[in-house]
Amino acid sequence: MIPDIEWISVAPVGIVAITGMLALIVHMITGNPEQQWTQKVTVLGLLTSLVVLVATGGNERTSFNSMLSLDRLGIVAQLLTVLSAFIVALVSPSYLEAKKIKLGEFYPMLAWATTGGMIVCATRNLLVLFVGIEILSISLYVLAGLQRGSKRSEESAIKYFLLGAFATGFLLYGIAMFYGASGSLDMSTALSYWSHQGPDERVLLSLSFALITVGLGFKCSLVPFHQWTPDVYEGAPTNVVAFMATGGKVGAFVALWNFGDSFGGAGRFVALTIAGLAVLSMVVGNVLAMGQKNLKRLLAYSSIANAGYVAVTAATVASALQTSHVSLIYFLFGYVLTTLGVFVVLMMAAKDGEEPSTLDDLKGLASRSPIAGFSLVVFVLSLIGLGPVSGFLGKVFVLKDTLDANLQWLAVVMVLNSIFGAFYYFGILKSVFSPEASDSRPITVTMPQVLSLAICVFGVIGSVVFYAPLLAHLGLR
Amino acid sequence: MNGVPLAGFIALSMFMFITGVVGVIIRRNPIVIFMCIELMLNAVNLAFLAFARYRFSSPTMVEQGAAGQMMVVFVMAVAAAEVAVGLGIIMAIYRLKENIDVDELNLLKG
Repeated sequence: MIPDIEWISVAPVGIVAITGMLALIVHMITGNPEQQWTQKVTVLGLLTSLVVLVATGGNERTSFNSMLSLDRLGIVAQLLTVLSAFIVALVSPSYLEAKKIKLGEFYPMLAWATTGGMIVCATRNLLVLFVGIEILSISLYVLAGLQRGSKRSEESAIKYFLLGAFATGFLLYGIAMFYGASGSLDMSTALSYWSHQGPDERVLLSLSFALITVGLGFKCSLVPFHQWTPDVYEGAPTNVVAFMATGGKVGAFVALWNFGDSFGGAGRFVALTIAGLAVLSMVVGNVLAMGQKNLKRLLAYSSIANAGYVAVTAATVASALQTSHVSLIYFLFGYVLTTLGVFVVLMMAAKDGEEPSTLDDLKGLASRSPIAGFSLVVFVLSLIGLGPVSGFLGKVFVLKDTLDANLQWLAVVMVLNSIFGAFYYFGILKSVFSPEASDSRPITVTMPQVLSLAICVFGVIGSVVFYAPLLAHLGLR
Repeated sequence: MNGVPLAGFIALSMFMFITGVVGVIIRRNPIVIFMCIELMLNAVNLAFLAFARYRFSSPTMVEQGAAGQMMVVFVMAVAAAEVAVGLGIIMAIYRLKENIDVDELNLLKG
């Protein structure tokens, strides 16, 4: 029997996928190397998808025979994925031009990566999860190597590709073991199989838990599966990294959370394994970021530490068995907007097609462009988790959940790491406001850059100021 | 069911998977590494099909059996897409450096 199809629940994803195809066709027809029309089509399509998401995102629903399950977390994560792609598409033209990347495939690939990320956010079915992760990853491999003439870009692409495909192998073998134990590809059924089946099935399920953890750990860049992250962030074009670190990660984070939620009841070992990865990621990420002089590598280690905070929420939900999306939603909201903002500032600070690569290159940024300097203050404060910014509120929610779940030691590790992280984040601010400038030319700021910075700053501060109505609107309280 | 037992298929699949993992770790040529990754994916396919045939082939379990077989089709399709992108990246590197050994890819570190 063919089940009823609820088209509206796939409409936002479908719009983004079709946008990618349209953008490719437009690029072929116009054929101009500047790609104004390709970019316009993409921006418009992503905006349409955003509007549809906001308009239809009211209620939780499952459709397609429960292959698609959109809960609050899924809807907000889809929103964040599209938003980050939208902002990246908005600020890319000037960057691509400065870098002399004349390949029109950038915008379609961005749209398709977004499609994959959105699919991952909206499912607990392992088949759909796998297809979504692959659509996301394969597009990102191409995007990482987009700068064909640069050895660094190509090197980052092949490292990302080989390690990503390797991780996919582990993920798939885990799915195979899960299927062998249960005959199902729906991971929300894990618990019922765990409690009703014999010892053989338990062995298979444990194996599947371990293998899927490795696979998702790679995609989220949790320590010890993080080695690709700094290299890829350093080598790939900055606008691609901006999407990779935000839209590309959201899907993986949500998948990890859903995974922890589904497997949580199997035993304490699930929560403890994920918590162990979280601790490793936070500590290693922050320690390695301390000694970094290279900006993009520093941000990579910062995103590894942030992946650790996300893993804390996954461990929490795995041990508590009562599902509360609020902490992860708030954390992701802050993380995505903040990271996007930082990368937009980096792209603005580029001179002669070279973005600042070390902390010293950022010196005097505040005097060269006050807008960039002061938005960076907001973003860095949010990364530290200080003041009326979403990063602060996100961490408070995560901590509260951790305490509720009786994981006090994890909360302590997280607080210590947040304090520790403040040091290198302040290092960024110190260079930005340093009086001796590496370059005294003022930065010309374009309209799209101002608009995207405004969206990020408003989101970061607004989510704290309006947090009660926002939560009410999301139906979380 | 006669013939090879399920454990035989799973043992072969695990052997293939581990061979693939070891190959990825010890080999230095990206094309060979990539072949090892393909070996891992084929191990996955073998495991899926063995499970579907031996555990979920009774008439009451048509849906479960079909799920595993569907998965194999998807894995093959995705593997093909990965080949296209992967070989493209390797080609791009060869054009830049005339050398694709992964140990020579050392611009990004620190």
